[in-house]
Amino acid sequence: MATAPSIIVIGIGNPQRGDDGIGPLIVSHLHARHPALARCMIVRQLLPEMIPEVENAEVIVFVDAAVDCPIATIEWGQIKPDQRFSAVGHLLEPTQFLALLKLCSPQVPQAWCLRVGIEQCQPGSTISDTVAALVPDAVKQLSRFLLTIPQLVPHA
Amino acid sequence: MAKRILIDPVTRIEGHAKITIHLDDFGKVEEARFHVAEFRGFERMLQGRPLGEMPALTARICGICPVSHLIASAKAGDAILASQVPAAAAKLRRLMNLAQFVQSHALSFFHLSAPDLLLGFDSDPVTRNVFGLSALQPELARGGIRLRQFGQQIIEMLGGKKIHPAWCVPGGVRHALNTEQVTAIRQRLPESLATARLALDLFKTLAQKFAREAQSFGNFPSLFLAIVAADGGWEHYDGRLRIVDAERRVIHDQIDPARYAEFIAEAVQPSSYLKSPYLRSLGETQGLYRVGPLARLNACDHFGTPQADVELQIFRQLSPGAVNGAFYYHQARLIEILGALEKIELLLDDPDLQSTHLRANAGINQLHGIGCSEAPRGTLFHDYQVDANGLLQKVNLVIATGQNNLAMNRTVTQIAQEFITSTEIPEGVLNRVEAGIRAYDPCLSCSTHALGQMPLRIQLFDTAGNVLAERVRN
Repeated sequence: MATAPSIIVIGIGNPQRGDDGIGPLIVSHLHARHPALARCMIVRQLLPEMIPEVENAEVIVFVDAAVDCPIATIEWGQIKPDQRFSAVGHLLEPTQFLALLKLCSPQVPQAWCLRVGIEQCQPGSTISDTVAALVPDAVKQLSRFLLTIPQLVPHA
Repeated sequence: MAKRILIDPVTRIEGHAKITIHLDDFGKVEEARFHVAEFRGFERMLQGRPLGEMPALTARICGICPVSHLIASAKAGDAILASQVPAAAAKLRRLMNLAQFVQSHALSFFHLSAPDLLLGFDSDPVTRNVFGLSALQPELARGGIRLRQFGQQIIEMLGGKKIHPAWCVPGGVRHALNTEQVTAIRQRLPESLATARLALDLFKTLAQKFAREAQSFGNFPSLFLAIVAADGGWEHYDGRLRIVDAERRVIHDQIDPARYAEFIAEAVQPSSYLKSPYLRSLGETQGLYRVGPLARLNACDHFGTPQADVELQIFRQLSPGAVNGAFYYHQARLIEILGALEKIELLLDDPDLQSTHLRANAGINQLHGIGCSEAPRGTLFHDYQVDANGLLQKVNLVIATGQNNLAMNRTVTQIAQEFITSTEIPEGVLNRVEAGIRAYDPCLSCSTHALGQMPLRIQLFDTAGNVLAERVRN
């Protein structure tokens, strides 16, 4: 009998930098309302050392703030590994994280990213009302999507 | 006409910096400077805060080495409480500090510096990163990633989270390990030791390919400062200060760290927010000293664990006196990973790790306290003055990266003089200048207590200060 694929939802962002904290906020609400749907993680940044924690996942859904989306909108998309990398430090974008995962792990999960267009991410500020108002809708979309994953990614 | 080259930002280091290289009228490198352009002012912000908050607040200085601040701060607090920390708490602090060495050194070597060594300083910068490393040496890259994760996992077990754990407090620690956690750490040790060995053996092989870099990356006589144990062994948590010279002759030994200000003075330069500590007795121009893995291995008599002691003897063979080349910071760092893992293994057998007597409670008994420990990047001092209510009146933080500031300046000058032959700077030369800084693994967030990320820029200046050429990398 097929079993449910292992799913990890990762909320990325810093709650102390305004709307950048929207990813963690959405994922914490998702976990509170639907704890059985997926394993939830909240991180400030994606770093290489997180790879051992996700290398057995079959599906990863990233939830992140976006400055290139219209403010207070939600965008969805499947993402693929992309190893184009800034030489500057050791932080990774979700696509880069997948690329490193692909190099380090025999199994590369399918991945999607839910991105929320943000207004501001000033240090020390809280999430703006406009962006915070999206949380219920984002949680609803996310939970519906997670329920469809067994059809999208049939488990062997 | 004299010229100046600017590298801004310097890449693959922790923080934001730039390098300027000044050419003379004949186009030869006259001087190079490492500038740290970020400012945060933690020492001032902490004034007025209660002593009990200091470990958690100062840990916020850095996301890479919060544990180092946590421990030095708690030790300054111990001194102000004039309390004897329970033996179990001291051992648990040691365990966390060793885990910090493992995770921080793994980041420095595997993520930031190994790409240069494995792919070459002149390789395509597009692939000269952790991805290129993973493609070329997947086992090493995966092992390095897991090694850093292992160090962070121990920190999380003890402190509740990987970054900024509020676990060390003046007088002790908040809680111990349980049996399952001890077992989990023990199970990861063989793999971690194997990764450290693999990397160390690889470095020793690769180092032979980089003779020119080894000769010119900060290879100059200097003093070295580190904590050593009472018997002269490698130490990271307690112990006393030792200063050795370029021949490994002991200049000062068994100095109580609380007396650091008698030996170390701090200068400031108009071109950088980074302070420049120097040995007071020799003055700013002669008193340059280095801290960190290279200094610790040069200063200690032995490491105290079987595998690391064998590697220390091999390391000693690099030079009849102290190993002066900054290129060998990498080898020293890898030996310290190996030794830290061995010391973790030894600590795990101690039943005190599961003790419930973890904290000495006391009030304010001294108005001045100094905490000192070895951070991965070098000796760290937290110097606090409080009022009778335990509110901070004055804070001085002497950070490893600051203590290496004068040496980093001399290092970039030496590399620039060796490799820059015209105003056209090939990318590989740019990378070597950065790599000289990277060898010290500077943490600019700590050293200026700053915020931000870190790109690279090189500018070329004439004697009148005009920018003649510039390269920027983001």
